[in-house]
Amino acid sequence: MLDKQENKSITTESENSIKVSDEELIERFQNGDLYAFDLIVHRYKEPLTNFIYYYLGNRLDAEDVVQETFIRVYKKKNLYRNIAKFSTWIYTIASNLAKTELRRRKRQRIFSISNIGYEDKDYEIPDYLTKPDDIVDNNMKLAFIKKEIDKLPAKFKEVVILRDIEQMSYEEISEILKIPIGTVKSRVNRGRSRLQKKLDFLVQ
Amino acid sequence: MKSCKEYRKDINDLFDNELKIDEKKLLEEHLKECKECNEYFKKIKSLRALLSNLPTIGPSENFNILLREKIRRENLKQKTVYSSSKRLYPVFAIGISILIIAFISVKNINILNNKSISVKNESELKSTFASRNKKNNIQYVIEQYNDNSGNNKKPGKSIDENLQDTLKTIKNLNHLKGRLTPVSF
Repeated sequence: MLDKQENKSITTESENSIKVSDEELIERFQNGDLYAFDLIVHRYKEPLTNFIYYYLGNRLDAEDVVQETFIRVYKKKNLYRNIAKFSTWIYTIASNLAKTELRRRKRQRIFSISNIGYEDKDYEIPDYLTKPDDIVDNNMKLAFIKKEIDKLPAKFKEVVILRDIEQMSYEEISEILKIPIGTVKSRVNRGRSRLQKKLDFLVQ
Repeated sequence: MKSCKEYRKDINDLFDNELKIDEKKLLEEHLKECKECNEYFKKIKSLRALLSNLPTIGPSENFNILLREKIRRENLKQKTVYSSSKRLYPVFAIGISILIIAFISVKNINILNNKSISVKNESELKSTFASRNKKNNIQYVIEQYNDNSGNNKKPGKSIDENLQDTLKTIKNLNHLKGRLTPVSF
């Protein structure tokens, strides 16, 4: 399961065959087909990593959360009922685990003074970059955007990422986060407005 | 007449394709007139483009290997829990066997202790005690004994009295005294 050779065959299959729906795959997996699980991993590992990466701002943590998400799917496969979209289900698991990770960090910050700022290390930018005129390099620009996304309150951050980075519909976001569509819309608007103010010099 | 705040909501809805045609026309009119809202419109448009063009961050190359290892460990954990409970089966079996044996023994002892010996006369009593105790070396309960005089000696709570009386009757079986321990009368 999941080794390199199989990965190739997964890729080949997913490219060549008629796309099997997520719901069909999870059903096959529920009936003991481990290959269906591999296909699920192949299908979701990238979008989930992308979502969690921008949410947590740290690649290592993002990967841990995504792996934990797949382990939950593996262990709790029978909890999925074909009444909701599989994508919604798996994104909900990932999002909840990411929130738990954020809470864990918060606790760590409270109880360990020495750990303050630790999470920012992998994209910490030097002070001079805060001057807009100095930001010319794309990577630095990216680091700045990431930092500003990360600074958003979690409730705005998650909807902005799902809507504007993951390109999900309001309905999907509403189902994943278990909040009304109206709330999703208003949070997206407020999140965008806040971000736009912070990134004002980049979004001329 | 909508406020600028409401038009800004409409700007977001416009980008999300959530705006109706008539609202869209109204917004377009407003954007021509309101410089600030027009500026906001451009910035949100630019922000959306910026966000949607952010590089996609995929998993590392060894993602599958790590995941496989974690799942293998999870499976092992589950098996360990299963097999450790499986390893306890003999212990449970032995425990249950001990309980069953203890239960049967207690029951047998009770049966034996409560076992009545009906005898018609003294000689029969003597022979019964003699044979049973020699064979089984167990305790007997003497519930009722009719001695030769025909008096019915009923068991009572006065163990000593009955025992002494009984043992006097079977004085020839002195060697069994130690074993003849009536449990209840």
